[in-house]
Amino acid sequence: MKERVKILDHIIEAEQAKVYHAWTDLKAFRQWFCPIGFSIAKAEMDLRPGGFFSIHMKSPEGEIYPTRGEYISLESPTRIVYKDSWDDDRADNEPILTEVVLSAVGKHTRISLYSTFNSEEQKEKSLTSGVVAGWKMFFENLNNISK
Amino acid sequence: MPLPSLIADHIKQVYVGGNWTAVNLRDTLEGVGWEMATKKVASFHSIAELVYHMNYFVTVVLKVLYDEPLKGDDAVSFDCPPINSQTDWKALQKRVFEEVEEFAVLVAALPEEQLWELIGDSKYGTYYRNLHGIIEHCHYHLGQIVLIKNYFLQDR
Repeated sequence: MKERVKILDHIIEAEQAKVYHAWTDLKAFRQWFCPIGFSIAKAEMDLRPGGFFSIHMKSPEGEIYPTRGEYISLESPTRIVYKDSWDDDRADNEPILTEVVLSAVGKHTRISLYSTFNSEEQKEKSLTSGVVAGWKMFFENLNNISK
Repeated sequence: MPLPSLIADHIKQVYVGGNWTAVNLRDTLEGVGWEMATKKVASFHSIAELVYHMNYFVTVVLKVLYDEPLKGDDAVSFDCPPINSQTDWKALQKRVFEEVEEFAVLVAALPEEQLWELIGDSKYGTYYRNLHGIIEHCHYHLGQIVLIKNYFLQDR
């Protein structure tokens, strides 16, 4: 059974429009959307509902972590919804629906991140794989480029 | 734009605006306090009952989008919880608007081919029919809410 789970809330020290831009502008996006120490080897975005994106994160050791997804909804500057999964042949790789909700908090922005899992197994696997810690690293990068 | 995204937009628009009629639930409920929302005109349903009823079917289909069975009952679809204060009334509205946001996200994420599948028993028809049914239903009852509100405002 599907389940929508709030993954985390995180405050970014930048205004909402700037944070939305960082998610949707390819040049800005490449600067932060990866764990600390990683880089983006490749990123493509077709920014429209139904449009696809592809991201290759590169570890310090040179290993590539490819993901691929589809934009579901883009509502500037408040909401981005997409489905994504690993772009390789691993097993149990069903796409996860992710909602990114951006709320203005004074001159800062709260990012609320929700995932809708397709099964209890997928939820357990995702939540025990360090997904929250991973997102926190992404957002630390985002905070650094947004200030 | 994919069809599920278009349908999701239509659902959101009747609640928060951007639709062709330029009448939406959020703007219509502006200035409607809990006393007006619960007051009856003749034998009509109150505004609060209509808001609850509009959203009842969103709640039913939302559960289906989370893979639960389709379970709805017209007989209880007007059974709005008691509203005895502005806090109660605001809480109902908050739940309704949050739920429709969640609903629209899941509708937009549906694979297009699923729109043509049956949503449950064949008598209910396809996802497409039910999602459009919800939009039609919301516009129908929104019109009633507008009329009841105007009646109270003229009565002042």
